[in-house]
Amino acid sequence: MSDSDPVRILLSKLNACSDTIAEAYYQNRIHKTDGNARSIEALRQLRIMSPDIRDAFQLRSNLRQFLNTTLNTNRLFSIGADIGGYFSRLALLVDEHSVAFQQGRDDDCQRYEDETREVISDIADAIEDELIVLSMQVSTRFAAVSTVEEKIRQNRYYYGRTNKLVTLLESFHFSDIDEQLAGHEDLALSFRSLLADRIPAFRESLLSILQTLDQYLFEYREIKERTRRVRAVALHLARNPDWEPKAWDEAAQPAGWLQCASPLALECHPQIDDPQAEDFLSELARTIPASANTRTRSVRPPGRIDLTAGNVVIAPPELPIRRAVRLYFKHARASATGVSARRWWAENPSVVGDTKEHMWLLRVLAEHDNKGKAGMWNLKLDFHRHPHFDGNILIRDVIVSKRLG
Amino acid sequence: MFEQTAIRLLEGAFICESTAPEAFRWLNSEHAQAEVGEYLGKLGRKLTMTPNRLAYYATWARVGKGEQTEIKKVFAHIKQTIRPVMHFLSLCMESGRQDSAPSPGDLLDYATLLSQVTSNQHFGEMLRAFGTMGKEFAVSDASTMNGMLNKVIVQMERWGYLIAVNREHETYRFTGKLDYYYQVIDFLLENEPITDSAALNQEPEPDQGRLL
Repeated sequence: MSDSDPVRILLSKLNACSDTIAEAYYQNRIHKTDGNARSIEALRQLRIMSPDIRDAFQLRSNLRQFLNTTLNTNRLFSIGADIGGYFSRLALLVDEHSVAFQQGRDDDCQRYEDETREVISDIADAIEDELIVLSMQVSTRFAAVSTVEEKIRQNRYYYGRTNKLVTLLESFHFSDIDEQLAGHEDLALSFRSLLADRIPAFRESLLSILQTLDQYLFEYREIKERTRRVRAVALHLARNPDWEPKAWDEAAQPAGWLQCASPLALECHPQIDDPQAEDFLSELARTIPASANTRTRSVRPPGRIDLTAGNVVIAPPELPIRRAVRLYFKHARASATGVSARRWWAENPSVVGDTKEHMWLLRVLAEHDNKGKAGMWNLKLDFHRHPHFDGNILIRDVIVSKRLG
Repeated sequence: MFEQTAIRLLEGAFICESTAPEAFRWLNSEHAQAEVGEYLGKLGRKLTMTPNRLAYYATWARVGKGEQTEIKKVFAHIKQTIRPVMHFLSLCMESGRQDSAPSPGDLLDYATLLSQVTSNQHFGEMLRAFGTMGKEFAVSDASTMNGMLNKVIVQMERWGYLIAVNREHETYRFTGKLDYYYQVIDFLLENEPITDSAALNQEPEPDQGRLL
């Protein structure tokens, strides 16, 4: 096991946030404070914590269920239950809560409230997880399996699963749970913001997935049918080496696939007398070599010496920084008292352009290093020693002056 | 976009997502189809789509005596290519252990195919069989699989069924013209006495349910 083992890394991260996890587990929700903000963010990144109402956060159902199982508490009621089970349990809890409330059983009321809130988040988390799984499967076109047969099977399975969920959400939409929770502000808010308001979006996503699955099923059936046809013809051709199709080209009304129009060989020429094209054509002409892969040889007439100018050398434009350095040294070289590089930089912003002051100083020093011996100048450093690093100096300025003697 | 699309169509090209993605997407709009169709109409042609709308190509607007010669040429080309193309598709399916025929847009990796025909005697024999299908598949040294496979791929590319995606890595893609080829196959199956179609009756088609 190395330090990069993902299980160890995850467990160590969870360990670092153990206080936050414990508090969120026992209190059902946790409010963000300066002390736990980092832990909450880390847990959200690990998809272990999700937002609750009123700036609070709660543990996601998967970790909560894991803790329920491990700690074997009385919350252990819905392990392995599907989303349908969650919905049934929600309806039951709401009824129980209502009865307990009417009978004035405050402790039970509190317990039912906690459990109802937990189930609401379980449903939202479970639908969200289900959507992620479905979207992934659909977007990769069931990439885990390679054969069309298997893809069709998977398609059917996920189609049924999605359809079931859509039906469930549709039937839940018509339930009166929101009315039953109307008297309990917190629960009603949890129900509305975590579930009821999101159901239309969930439903839309699921319907979109259903539509894609429908399309895939159609395509897979097409592919399957086509494969069968291709195999049939391949078999026919293999068994009948001399087979040729009938003369379908002689039919009175040839089939559509025979009516491919014959290709036209298109060739274009420029209109050389068009004045608008003159610049473009002359530019083009300049790029074309006089003769491809041949070397022209000019013969000097006897008794004469050619004095050709040769190729014209085009000098590239001088870089702004190079020009600034050249001008600075030219100016400083003529000064007996010397010219401060920093002052010159400050006084000539149009010449130095956007070169930063410290870069300018470094460039002046580099110029001196390169051409200082041959240059007709003297360079003086304005510096002080570094307080901590022996042998290092901090340069404040550079003064270049005329070389004496 | 109109200019390059119209020129390609007049040159006899099949425009699909693999060969000319931008032109293909542009042609998918009704306005572009009308514009190109009108232009082609003036030249005695019309814009046609393959059955699954995977490629566009130009066909004759009217078929008269003048077009008969051209139709014969098209048919001669189909007769010449139907067997090698089908053999190539079979080779791809069998060597890749796929239960589906290649579709336009599917990738073909030259190196993978070469390793399969080299390591498996049956696939090697399938490749050698191309040698009997026309002089365009003839190679000077019939012992090298690489040379033979290269010849086959080049020919498929020339006929417009494959396009190179990455020449350096020798990756190819099946083009929309394959949809046209399948159209020809469907026509022949429906109109020719092709009775050796054991594969056609392999298994009953399950109920389509609410899909159709």
